[in-house]
Amino acid sequence: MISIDARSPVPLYDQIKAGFKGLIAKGLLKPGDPAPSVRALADRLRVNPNTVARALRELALEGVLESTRGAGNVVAGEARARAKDGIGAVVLNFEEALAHARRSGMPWKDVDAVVRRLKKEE
Amino acid sequence: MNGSIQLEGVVRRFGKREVLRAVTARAEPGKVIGLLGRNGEGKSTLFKILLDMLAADAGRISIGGMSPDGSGRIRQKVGYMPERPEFHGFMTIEEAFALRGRFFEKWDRRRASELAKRLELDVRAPVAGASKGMLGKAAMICALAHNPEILLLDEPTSGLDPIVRDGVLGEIIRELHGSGKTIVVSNHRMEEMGGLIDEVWVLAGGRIVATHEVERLRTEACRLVARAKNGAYPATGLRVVELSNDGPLSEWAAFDSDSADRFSKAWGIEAIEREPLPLETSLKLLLKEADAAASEETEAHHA
Amino acid sequence: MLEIAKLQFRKNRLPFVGMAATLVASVPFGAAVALLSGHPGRFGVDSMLYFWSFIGLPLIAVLLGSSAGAANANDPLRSAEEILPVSDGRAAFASAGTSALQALLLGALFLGLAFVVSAQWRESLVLVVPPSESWLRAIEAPIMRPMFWLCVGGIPLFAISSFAAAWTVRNGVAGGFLGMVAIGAMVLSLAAGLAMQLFYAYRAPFGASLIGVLFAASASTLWALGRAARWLGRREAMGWRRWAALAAAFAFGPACSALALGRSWTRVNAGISFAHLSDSEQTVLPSRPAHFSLSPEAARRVELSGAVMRGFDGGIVFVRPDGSRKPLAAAAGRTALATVLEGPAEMRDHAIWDAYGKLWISRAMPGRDGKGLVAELWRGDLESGLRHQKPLPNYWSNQMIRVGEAIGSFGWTENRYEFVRFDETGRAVAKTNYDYASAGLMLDEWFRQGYAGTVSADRASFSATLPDGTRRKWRLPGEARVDDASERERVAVRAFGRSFFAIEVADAHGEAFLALLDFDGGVRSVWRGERSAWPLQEATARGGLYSIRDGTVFAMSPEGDFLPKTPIRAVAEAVAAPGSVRPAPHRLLRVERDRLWFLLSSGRLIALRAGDGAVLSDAKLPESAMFAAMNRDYERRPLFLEERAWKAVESGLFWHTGRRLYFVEWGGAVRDLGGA
Repeated sequence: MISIDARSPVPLYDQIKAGFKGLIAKGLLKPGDPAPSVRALADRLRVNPNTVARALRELALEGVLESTRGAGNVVAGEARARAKDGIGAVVLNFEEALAHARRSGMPWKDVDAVVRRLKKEE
Repeated sequence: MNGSIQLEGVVRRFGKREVLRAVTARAEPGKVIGLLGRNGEGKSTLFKILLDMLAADAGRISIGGMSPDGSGRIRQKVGYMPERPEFHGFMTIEEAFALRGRFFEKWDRRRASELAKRLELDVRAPVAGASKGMLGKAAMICALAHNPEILLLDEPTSGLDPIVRDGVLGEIIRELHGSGKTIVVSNHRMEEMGGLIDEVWVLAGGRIVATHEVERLRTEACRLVARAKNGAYPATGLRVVELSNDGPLSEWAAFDSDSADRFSKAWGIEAIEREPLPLETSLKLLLKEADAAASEETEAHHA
Repeated sequence: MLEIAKLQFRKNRLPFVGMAATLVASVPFGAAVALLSGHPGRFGVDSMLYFWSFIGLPLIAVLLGSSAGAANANDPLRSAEEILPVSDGRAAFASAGTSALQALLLGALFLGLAFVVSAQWRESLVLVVPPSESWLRAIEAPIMRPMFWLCVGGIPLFAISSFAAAWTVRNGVAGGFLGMVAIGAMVLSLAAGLAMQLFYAYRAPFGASLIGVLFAASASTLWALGRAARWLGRREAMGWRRWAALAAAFAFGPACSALALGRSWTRVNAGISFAHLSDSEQTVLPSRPAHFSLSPEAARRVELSGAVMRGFDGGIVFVRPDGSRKPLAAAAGRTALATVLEGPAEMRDHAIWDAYGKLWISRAMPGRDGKGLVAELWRGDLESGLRHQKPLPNYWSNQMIRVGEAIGSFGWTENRYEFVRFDETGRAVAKTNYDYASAGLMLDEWFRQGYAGTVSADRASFSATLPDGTRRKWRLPGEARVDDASERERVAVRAFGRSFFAIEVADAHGEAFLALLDFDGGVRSVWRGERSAWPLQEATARGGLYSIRDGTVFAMSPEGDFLPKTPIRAVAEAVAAPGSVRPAPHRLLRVERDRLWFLLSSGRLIALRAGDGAVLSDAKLPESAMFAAMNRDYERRPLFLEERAWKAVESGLFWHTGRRLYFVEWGGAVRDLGGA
């Protein structure tokens, strides 16, 4: 399920979009699945429905969601590819961040420690 | 439906003390505003003035297209949840609702019982002896059941246990669906509403000293560790707050990227490291900054 | 507002029910206490009812109002209710009105209870006579009745005023106290005013004032409540002006009532009267009244052309039969405010015309410094009005006396009489003291003036000085009857006509008769009336003498003609105005050769033919509460202080009712001369 990190500087709608794309990339959401309702998502995430609505709107614009006649939004066919693109961007960011950390003097063992910790938390 | 709120130069004194000096702010319809302020700084006073329960000594007020005139009409259109809700001690919660039903034109009985069910509130319980949580739930229902365009919530979750708190929060979110009400909420733990609020108003020294878009805060607020030549930091004129000073280094917070950039590039800064500041922390720091600014002004005022 | 009222009903429910229960339970409780202490149960019940009437009901109203007001103004009720979308003003009015209504309901409960439970109440729905216990007897019934109805009728004001005060100061006790004091003071003032009206209906028409005051008090209290709700509800900045306005509004009712009472008192005491002109009556002698027709022509001319009247404002005017008025002295007396602060000041005037057409009045009026009463001599005439002359000794009563041309004032203190004679400028020239025993006190004066003469040792001849100065001697047709005066040679003249003296003479058998002695020295006529007719005592304004004995009138006209005796009993009602203990006398106003005019104590002017007593004319005079009151209280009012509702002059009778002034011609035509 999508979750958001309140402490992250990433805008909420971006986090929602990324979370959604993540689920698609991992295959948990398949093309044709109905998009979550703004109501339910806003309620679960404890965010302003406008934020959720914006995220879903942008996902629709990006082609990750498409509107069907009568059934609302569903995951689009090419969603997986688009999502992967999105994931790609995230991976790029990650690589950049790691490089930056190394440049700033972070030893590898600390990097391992961070990875281990995150794994554990999940 | 006019759901906007406008305040201009609102002043309120209690005896000699000026609690609100010149409050000026504007809320667009459909926005969620978080009102940030220390205890006793005038949040509740501001609410009461908006609700026509307290007269402003000066200034112009427009809420929902109406001006407070003592007639109480404003309260038909505004939902209010007070910090310390009170009901008539000889009634049950149900009767309290019924009483309000007779006064508020748009009171929806069914809505009230729906809300009560969702919040798991036993309306047949007497008010006398009801727990804080029950009264909080009842107050929430009273604020919502007459379908107001504007909601003013004064510490809606304070003193409530986590489950009730969550329920209240959920109801607020539900209110935002559809046409989207204008909400002004004050909360000491503003971070729990971080996902809801559009804008934060910082009330300190009787004024709204700053307004920030929450998304901007979330994305741009950052912590800066800086080293300055000669130990002098060019903080004047910039919206930054000093957090700590430890030897050659000092820590600062900036609330938008513009201020952070200007500070980083300011003359005298040798080295700087920037790190994003979580929303929760920036909300806390905002108050600190405002407080400091306010007391500076007070000192200047007295000098 | 209805919803607020219903809510308030619910909030007041407990005190309301409690008070109702107490009310009902107090009746058997009172009976039980009385029985246990050996009194009849009825007494305990009645005492309880009286308690509720004067203390309990107002207290209930105050408590309901003040407790509701204070509760509404303070948390938690204030917080619970301020969120409701009603204005503070409407909420306050609805709540205050509800408290008042509940208090009225309790009042109605009380009235019903009292009506059922107490025979005394059933007979007269209002209190008339207190039960026969000394402490209650101290309360005068005339004050109790208006007090009771004002307490009952004032219940809403008690409640609303207490509510408003309690709401404003946010304290039930203080508010209740303020409301109780304010309205209680008002009720007392109004009751006093109403009670006074019972005594002085003609003088103090209080009805309009009462309604005005109640209206003003209600309006100002409601205004205060509305303003307080509006200003204090939203905690607006107050400032001293607003507080002063609220305080003034609260105090307005009591202030108005005090002023109304003061105005009433001022009117009561200044009163209206035709100044007690001596006519031809001189004074009251200690041993017997003796009235003499001794007015000089000049005085009589002015005297009979109009009436000197003192009005409610204390000013003096001269009014003529055509209604024209000449002010003689400006308004005096106390203002309403001074009356409230210092108490009522009675005014007494006693006036007389002297031989030169000058008017002398002794006035007892409020002193110049506003304190106490002083007696003053005022003097003047119709052209230039009256001027204050000098203070007089402040006796209990100062009567002006005219003896021929001499003017004096006659007053008495606790143990003596004092007669002060004035010269024509008003300067006192002689002062004589008389104790109660001395009877011939005017003889010296009369002798000096020529109204007394000396008799010879054998009492067969009489010498006297005529008004023009000549001395004359008459041979009497009998033996002069000597007054039991100090100087046995001096004899007072019984009557003084335009051309004759009359003195009392006894014949050989000891029977007394009146001998009329002409100025030119002869005996004009003799009048042997019935023995019982002596002495002829009264005199009318024009002159003439009369007495009424056993329903028969014996009269002598000013020209000296003796009228045949005339029966009056058949005509006049024996009983005077209802409510009086003994009949007030009828007054003979005018004697002509063949007819007599009487003012009956039932308020009619009749003319009787001399001799057979046939009624020649009969006019009903306009209703005069003053005249009725005077007749009712006649036995209580000493003659010399008698207020006059009427004054007989040459062409008719002035008659005032306390409201309007009329002139009644001898033929019976009544003319309205305007407001009194």
